Amino acid sequence: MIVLRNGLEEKNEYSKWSLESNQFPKKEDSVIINLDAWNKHKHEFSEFNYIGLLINSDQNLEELNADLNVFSIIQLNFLTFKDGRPFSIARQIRKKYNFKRELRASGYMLPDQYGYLLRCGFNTIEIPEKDKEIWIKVLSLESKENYQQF
Amino acid sequence: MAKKLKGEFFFLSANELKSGKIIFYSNNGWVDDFKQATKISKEEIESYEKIYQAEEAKCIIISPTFIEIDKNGEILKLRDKIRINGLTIEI
Amino acid sequence: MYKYSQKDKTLINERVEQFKYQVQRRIDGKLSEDEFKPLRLMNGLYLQLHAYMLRVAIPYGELSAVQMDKLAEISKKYDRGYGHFTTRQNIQFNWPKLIDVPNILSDLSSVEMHAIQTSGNCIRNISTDHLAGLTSDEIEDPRPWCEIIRKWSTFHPEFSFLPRKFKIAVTGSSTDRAAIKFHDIGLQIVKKNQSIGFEVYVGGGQGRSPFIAKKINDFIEKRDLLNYLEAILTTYNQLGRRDNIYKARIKILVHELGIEAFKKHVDENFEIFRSKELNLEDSFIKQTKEYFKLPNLKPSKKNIPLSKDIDFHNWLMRNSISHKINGYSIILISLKPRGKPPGDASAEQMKAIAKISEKFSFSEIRVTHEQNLVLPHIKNSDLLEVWSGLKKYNLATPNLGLITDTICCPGMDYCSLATARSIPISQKITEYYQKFDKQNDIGDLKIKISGCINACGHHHVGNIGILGLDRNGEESYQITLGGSANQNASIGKIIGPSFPEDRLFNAIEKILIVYKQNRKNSDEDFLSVFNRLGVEPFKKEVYDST
Repeated sequence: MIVLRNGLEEKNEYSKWSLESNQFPKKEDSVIINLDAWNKHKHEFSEFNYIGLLINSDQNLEELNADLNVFSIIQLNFLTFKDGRPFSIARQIRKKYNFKRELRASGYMLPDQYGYLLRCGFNTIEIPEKDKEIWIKVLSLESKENYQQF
Repeated sequence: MAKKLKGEFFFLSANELKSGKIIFYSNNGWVDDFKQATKISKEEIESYEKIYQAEEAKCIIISPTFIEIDKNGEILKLRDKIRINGLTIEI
Repeated sequence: MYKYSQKDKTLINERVEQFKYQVQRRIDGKLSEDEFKPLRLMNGLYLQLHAYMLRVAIPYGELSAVQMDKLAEISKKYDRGYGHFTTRQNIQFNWPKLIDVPNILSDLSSVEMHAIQTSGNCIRNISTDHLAGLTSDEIEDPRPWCEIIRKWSTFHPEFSFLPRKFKIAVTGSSTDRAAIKFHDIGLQIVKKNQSIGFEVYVGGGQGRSPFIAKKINDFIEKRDLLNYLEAILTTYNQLGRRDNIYKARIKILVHELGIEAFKKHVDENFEIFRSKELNLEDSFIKQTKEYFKLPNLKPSKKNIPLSKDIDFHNWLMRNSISHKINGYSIILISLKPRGKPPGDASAEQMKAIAKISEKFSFSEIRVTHEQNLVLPHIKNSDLLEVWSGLKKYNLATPNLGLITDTICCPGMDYCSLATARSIPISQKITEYYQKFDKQNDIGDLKIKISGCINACGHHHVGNIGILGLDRNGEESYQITLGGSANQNASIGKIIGPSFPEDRLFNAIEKILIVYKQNRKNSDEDFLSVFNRLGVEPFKKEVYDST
C-alpha cells in the first residue's frame, strides 16, 4: 500500500496496531488504531505524540467521547466503494468536530472517487501500489471547477 | 448465478460487453443466432459456469444467463422468448 | 430557457472525457463490471433485456428545438430511430452500444445536454410541473429553483454514493402537476408574509412499498433552501439502510424512525452544517430567474381560426390550455396515438416537433411526467396550422387526460426486471377506446400500467392502476383503483386477485359501467365517483358477477 497526497506519493508515517498485535507500541511510535483499541487503552494512547484513529464506514463517531484533535490523523476506511458514508463522516469530522489535521481515506474505493474525496476534506489516500497510475490519471481529469461552493 | 434452475436443458446467453447485443454460446464460440447455440444438460451447468466466468474475466460478456429450453430446443419462459425474438410490439 | 455558462460547458465536457477513460478501463479489464456499474449508471447507461439503454437528462423537462433535433439525429445515428419519454421528464434510447456512448455524450454536449445522474444511487433529475411559468394559478415559477437545485446536486461529492436513488420534485402551484408527494423530497413553493419559501415533504415514493410524503417543514426561507436540502441528504446518507436494496430509500428511513425523530436529525444537521457558501443570495436567485422569463408574447384578441373539422375541435377541447397571456395557448402533444407504444417518438416526429416549435413556440418544448410533450406558447391564430402540422406526423391525437392517455413502463418487452408486458396492454386500450366520443364520454381518467412491482409505470397512483405479475409462468394483471398523484395524494386500492389479459379488459369494462351508472352527471369524473362510492361496488361487479 502507498499513500498519495494530491496525486503525489508520500511516505506513510504510520504503522497499524490492533489489540491482536504482540507488543504494545512505544510513545514515540506513530500508530493508527481502531475504536476498540482506543477505548481499551485511551489513557496510554493519549500520551502519544502521533496517534491516529481508524473508523470503518459502518462505525459511529458519536460513540467517541473525545476531542478528535487529540488524533494527528483520522483514517476512514471504505468497506466498499458503494457505501458512501465516509464522505459524510469526513464532512462531519471537519465541520461538527472542527478537526483540522490529516484525514485519510482507505479501503475499497474507486479511483473515480478521488475528486469527491478531496472535496469532502480528505488530505491523503492509502491505495494499492499497482493502482497508482490510474488514480493519478483520474486526478488529472478532475475539474478545477465545481458547482458546490463549500 | 445463485438462481435455482429448473428444467432439463439450457442455452447459455449473455450480452456482448461492447455492443450490448444478445449472444449465445456455441461450439464455435459466441454467436448471434440461438439456433446455433449449444444445448446444455443440467449436469453440464457447472462446467459452463466456469466458461462464462472466464468470458466475463476476458471482458467479452456481461450478464450471463441460462435459458431454459425443452428437449426439442423450444424456449420455455416468456422473458427468454422476448430476449431471443425481440419486441412483441410494433414500434 | 437556461443557457450554459462557461462553467457548465467545462464540467460537461470534462465528464465526457472521464467517461471515455472509464469505458476504456472497462474494456481493458482494469475495471470489473461491479466497479464500472455505478460509474456508467451515473452517466445514464443502464443494461436492459436486449441491450444497453441510455437515459438522457432533460432538466425539469425543458427542451429547445435545437436539442430535440439533436435527439432525433442521435436516435438515427446510434440507435433504432426512436426515443422514449419517461415519467421523470427524461428521454431513453434503447439500443446504444457501449463503445458509442462516449461519442453520443459528446454529441449531446454540443447542444448543452448530457446523461449525468439519470441513473444510479445519486440525486436524479429535478422534475416539475410541465405548465411551470405558463398559468395564472402559480404562486411562483418553480423552474429557476429546479435549476438552482440541479447545479447543487450535480457532482455533489458527499451525495454520489447514497444508499439508493434520490428524486426531488418542485411545484409552484397549489395544483400539484409534479406529483411531489410521491418523491423522496417534494417542494411546494408557498408565500408567507409576502416572502417566498418552501413547504418541504419527505419520504414519498412508489415502488414495492408506496408511501405518501410527510411534511417535515411548513416554511423554509428561500435563502436556506440548499442548506436544508443538505441537512436532509446528509441524514439519509448516514442513516439510510444499506443492507437491503428494497429497504434503502428514504421513505423507509422516515417510516422506521417516524417523522418526528427524522425531523430532529435533520434540524440538528441543519444547525451544524449550514454554510454561508450555500446561502442563496437574492442576486443569484434574480440572475437565475432571468433565464426563465417569458419570451416576447404580445397579448392579442385574435381568435382561433375557424374550421369545420371535428378533429380540430376535439383537439382544442382536450389538448389545449389557456396561457396566462391573452391570445396564447399551451398545446399538449399526445404521444399516445392509437396502436403505438406510449411515450415513444420517432426521429421524424422529433424533427417535426422541433420545426413546429421553432416556427410557432419560440423554440421551446417541454416533457410532461405523463410521457407527453408541450408546446408552451402558441398564438391562437396559429392553432389550426400547428394542429395540421402535428396531425401529419400522428402527433395530434385528442386524448389528453382521457382513458387512452396512459402512463406505461417499458415492461417485459424491454426490461429484465419485469414480470409481465405492459406496452401491449396500453396499445389495446388505445384500440378498444379509440372512438373519441366514447373516450370523451368516459371523461378524465388516468390509467397507469406497471410491468412489475417496482411500479415504474406509477400504477399506485392511477385512477385505475394495472400491475403485471407472473402467475405460474403466465402474465397476470391486478387492478388497483382510486390512486392519485396530485395534491390530494392517494394510493390505489387492490380490488382482488389478478387475471389474464382477456379478463382484464372485461374487468375494465365492468368498472366503467359501475362508474357511468353511478355518476351524478356527465361532468363527475371517475375519481370523484370512486371517492364517493369506495371500492366495494367496483369489487363486487368485477368479481361477483361472472
